[in-house]
Amino acid sequence: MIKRIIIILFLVFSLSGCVQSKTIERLGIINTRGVDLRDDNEIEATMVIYKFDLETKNISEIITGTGHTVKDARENANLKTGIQLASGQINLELYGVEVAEQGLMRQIDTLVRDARVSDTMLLAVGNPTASEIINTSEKNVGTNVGQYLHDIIQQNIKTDVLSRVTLQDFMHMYYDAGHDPFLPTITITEQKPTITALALFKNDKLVGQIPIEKAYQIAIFNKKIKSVALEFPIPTKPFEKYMKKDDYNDIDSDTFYALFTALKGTSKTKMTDVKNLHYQTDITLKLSLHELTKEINVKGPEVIKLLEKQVEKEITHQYEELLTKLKKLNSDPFGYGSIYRTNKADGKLKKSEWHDKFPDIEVDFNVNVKIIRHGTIP
Amino acid sequence: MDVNVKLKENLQIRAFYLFFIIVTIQVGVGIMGAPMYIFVEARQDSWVSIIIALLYILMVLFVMLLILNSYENADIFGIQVDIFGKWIGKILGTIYIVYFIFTFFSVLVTYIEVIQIFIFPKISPFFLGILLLLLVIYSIVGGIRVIVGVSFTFFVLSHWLLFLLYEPALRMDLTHFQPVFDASIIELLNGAKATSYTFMGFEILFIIYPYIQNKKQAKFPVYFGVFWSAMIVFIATVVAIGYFSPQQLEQLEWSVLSLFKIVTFPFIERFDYVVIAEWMMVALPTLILLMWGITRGVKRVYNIRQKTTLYIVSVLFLFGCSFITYHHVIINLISNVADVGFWLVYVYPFFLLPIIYVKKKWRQKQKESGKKS
Repeated sequence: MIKRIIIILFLVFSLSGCVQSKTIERLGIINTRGVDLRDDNEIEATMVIYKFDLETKNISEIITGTGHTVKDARENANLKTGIQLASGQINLELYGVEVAEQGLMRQIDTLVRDARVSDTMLLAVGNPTASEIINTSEKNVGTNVGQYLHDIIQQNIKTDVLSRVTLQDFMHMYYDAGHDPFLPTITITEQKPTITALALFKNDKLVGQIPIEKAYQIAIFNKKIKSVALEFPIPTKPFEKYMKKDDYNDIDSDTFYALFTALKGTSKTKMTDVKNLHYQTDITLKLSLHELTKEINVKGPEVIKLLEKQVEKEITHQYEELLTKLKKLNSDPFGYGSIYRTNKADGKLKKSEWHDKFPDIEVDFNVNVKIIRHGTIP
Repeated sequence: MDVNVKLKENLQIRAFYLFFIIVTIQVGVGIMGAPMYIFVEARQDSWVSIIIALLYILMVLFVMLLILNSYENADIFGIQVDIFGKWIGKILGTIYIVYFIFTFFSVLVTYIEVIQIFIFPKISPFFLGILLLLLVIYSIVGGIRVIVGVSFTFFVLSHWLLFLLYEPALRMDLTHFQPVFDASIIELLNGAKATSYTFMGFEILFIIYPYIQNKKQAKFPVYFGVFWSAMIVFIATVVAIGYFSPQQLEQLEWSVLSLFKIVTFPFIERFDYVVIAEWMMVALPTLILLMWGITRGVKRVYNIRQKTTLYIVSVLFLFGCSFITYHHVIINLISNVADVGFWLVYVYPFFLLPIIYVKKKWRQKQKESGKKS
């Protein structure tokens, strides 16, 4: 028995030496990576790394490197530090606008090829450059920039402002013919990193942006939205007789604003005419009223009905505006092309084929809004 | 050599364990890449291909059981000698052994390569070979009961991996399956053929059958075992097709392992690492059963002690796996094994059965005419 135990112990200790070891104190664990294009067409990678060295106080540090490929830039950055950079824990990859405009697939290739990179990492666009976002944030946010940037995106995904934007989602949308990817754009506003827009892609190239407040219109196509806050301008005129008395006299503007949170938002799209590319999209939103910039007495079903109708009108209008813009950019983040593909006889669609057709599609937006709660005051 | 096998009572196993033997030998490294190979052929209708493959395998098994039951207690080596005579029978038996050797080798190098790609890029295949082969040798030396015990234990210990597929399953895009029934019959059959490497292994029944104590009850565990492995491949393929885009799946070598890359837990963020390590419990029973098939075959055909073959073959495997470096060599090996195996495992039994019946009739006639004269 003792002999066996000795043999087992011997094996345990000696065999574990056969595997290459990575001491955590000697590793720089990359947490966030920013990829930019320099003037000489080389890639500049800005990396936020974690160091678990007892002697340094700051656990996160920023290093940069340049090279023709992202990996090459990492190796170049490795020359500047005494530690080995590891890419298994990248949580966020930021791309500068210029890189994104040239096409992201070249950069993403390294992420996909490397089995050690996680599929759950988030992607985003940094405006104007990724390095500016990372460096400015580090100055103003202080500790742990990487986690901070990751969290502001994650937070907005949780509250349904955004759809999920992991590496896997980007790849999925890119590779599905008839579906174009989108990513959040981070900009520095008032010295802090903020998500300001949703970057729209045609294939893998950035072609335009829409303000982040409108991103829910795209998110609703991908998931049930449950908690996003929505604000709509509403014309004052139809509500004049429901205005509260003391407020009645100062109708100075012809629109007021209403803020809602979505309790449940779903969408359903079907193709009504395959040949002429006609679609019908039903959007159903259950809202809860939170704030009105004018005091309106929302007691009674007819006011609610009226409000619902106005909101419906506004959302339909927003969708039509968005679609016109998307057609101009020729980017289809809704995935209308996928629906077209499944309705086609042979079920095959090429990306270029869809981009020829997308500007000609017609969509009837059928918005159905229900305001089911309005807080404690009528 | 005797056609029928005489075995001591204590070496026999209950038919019930055939289920675990069949499932663990079938589900090995093949499933890691299976969805891609099927998808390339049958596109969004791949799931139909798997059902076709299952039905076909059930037919093969039916025939195999007919062959085995027409003898008292024989295995494939004995049957072939009985039918084709000593020389041809032994050559055919050797083909079976060689086929098992190459299957074993392909499983070994595939798993080693996966570890190199996913976890330790610089680890030497020689070292991993030692680790895996030591475990294989350990189980084989323990005898048939240990082997069956291992396949039972690892069956239970590895099936929880299926539950992890819920995460990619939730992210499935159902439009990837539309339009349904788009593939032609030929494409569906090609898809079914693409599963051949994944589903291989049930031919172990030809060798292990004499060990079954209660042969009358053997049918159900065998059929159900094949059904079970087909179900696992079915689930993996459906989830992979829904989760990956068509274009993406076509290029993905280990698509099933990539499915697990999305699984994270608060206590362990990169759960895919655990899955790769856990996959040893899936690959190891396959290796052990194949190795047992090799040693058993050599013993039956050439009457060499099982331990002698075990050690010699293991050393050869060990050196073999350290010399394979290029990825395309492994892929070639797999596709060659799949091609040969297709004829040997999926087609050959259909030829063997009529020959056995004809020979049986002929013998009976001879007996009768012998009595008469």
